[in-house]
Amino acid sequence: MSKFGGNKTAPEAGFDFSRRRFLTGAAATAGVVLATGVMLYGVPASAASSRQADGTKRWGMLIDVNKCEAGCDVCVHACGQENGLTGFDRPKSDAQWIRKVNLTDKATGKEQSLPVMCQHCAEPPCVDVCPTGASFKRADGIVLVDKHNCIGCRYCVMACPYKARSFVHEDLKNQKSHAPRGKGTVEGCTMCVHRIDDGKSPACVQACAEKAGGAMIFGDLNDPTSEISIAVSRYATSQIRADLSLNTGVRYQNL
Amino acid sequence: MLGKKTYILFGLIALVVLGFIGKQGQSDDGKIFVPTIPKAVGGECVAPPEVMRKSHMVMLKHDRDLKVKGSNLDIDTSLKDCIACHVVRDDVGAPVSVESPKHFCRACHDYAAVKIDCFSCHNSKPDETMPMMTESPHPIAWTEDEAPKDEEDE
Repeated sequence: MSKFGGNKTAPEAGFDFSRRRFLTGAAATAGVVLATGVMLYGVPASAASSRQADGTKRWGMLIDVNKCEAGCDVCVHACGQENGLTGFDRPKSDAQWIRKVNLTDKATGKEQSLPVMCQHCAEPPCVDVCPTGASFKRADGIVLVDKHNCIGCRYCVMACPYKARSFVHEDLKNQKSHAPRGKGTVEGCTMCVHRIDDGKSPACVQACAEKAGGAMIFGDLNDPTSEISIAVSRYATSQIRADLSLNTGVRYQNL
Repeated sequence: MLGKKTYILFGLIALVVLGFIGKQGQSDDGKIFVPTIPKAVGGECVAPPEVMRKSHMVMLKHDRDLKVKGSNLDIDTSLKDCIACHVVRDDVGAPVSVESPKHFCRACHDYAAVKIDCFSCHNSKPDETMPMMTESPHPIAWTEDEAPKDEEDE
């Protein structure tokens, strides 16, 4: 855990009034018989009962650029659909959580195409510059914006070397209930945190596997048995702007 | 001297008119003005009404901080469940958004003149894919003594 992420990851869990929920829910499954709630005063309720973002994990992605076709934007569409990213047909100001970038090697003429989104850095500059603590890194390595605290200053937009953050300029309606977003706040790829918390993979990864070349692998970089860890230990992979030493969670192969 | 009598007359007229206007929002005994609060479609709420009335905003804030920051992913009481349970439907059966004065949240907030910021980001209608709620997904989660107090906030 980085020193930056550690500070801004999470407030203390275990507030007094989750006690009742502990009583009615988890206590029953744990088989603890409680005549009254009194004995629970000494017990930190959430530590005993709740599932937290797992600090032993580091969610990441590996993108094989050779399998990513120029002109294919299945991942971009999947992201927009999943997170309800409606635009106003104004590409310069519409939100963009993931985009396709085409590269040409001037010396050889070799062309490549790759998706670029929030790279979920271990040392995220967006978190460093955020004046309100809205930009934060979760214990499992996902970099997010807590829009409740975001004042829309856009420091993070300037700080991010990947141009991964967008600002919402206009009033929105009919947002997805799992992806609230609104005018005056900054947003970016959440790695589909709502899906990850449900044990699913991000929408772009799933769409790429189902409808395109299967160029994206999602998984836990800290688990040596995961598909992504095996792949990054076996093949040469790279980070975009590795010179910045941000230790990105999104890595590229054959770039 | 025209003043006094005219004022009294106007005052009386105003009283009668206001009485008519106010009739809609009167309580059963006809003495206090109260907002008309739409009934929820689900079963039991997460806390008794007197707790919800006083502390719903603190509850929402508390849970949101835990959930958003990932300190408690098991929290299953969320604004979207409130919205699903307290959905108000219009004449054709479509859920109304917060733009309508019939919306559950607005019924009270208009009356109390308290602005709601939630819906500049959150959807004020249930997701189309969400099944219609017929019973509460949550047992009673808070009692009056356990509900968060306002002092903890800010």
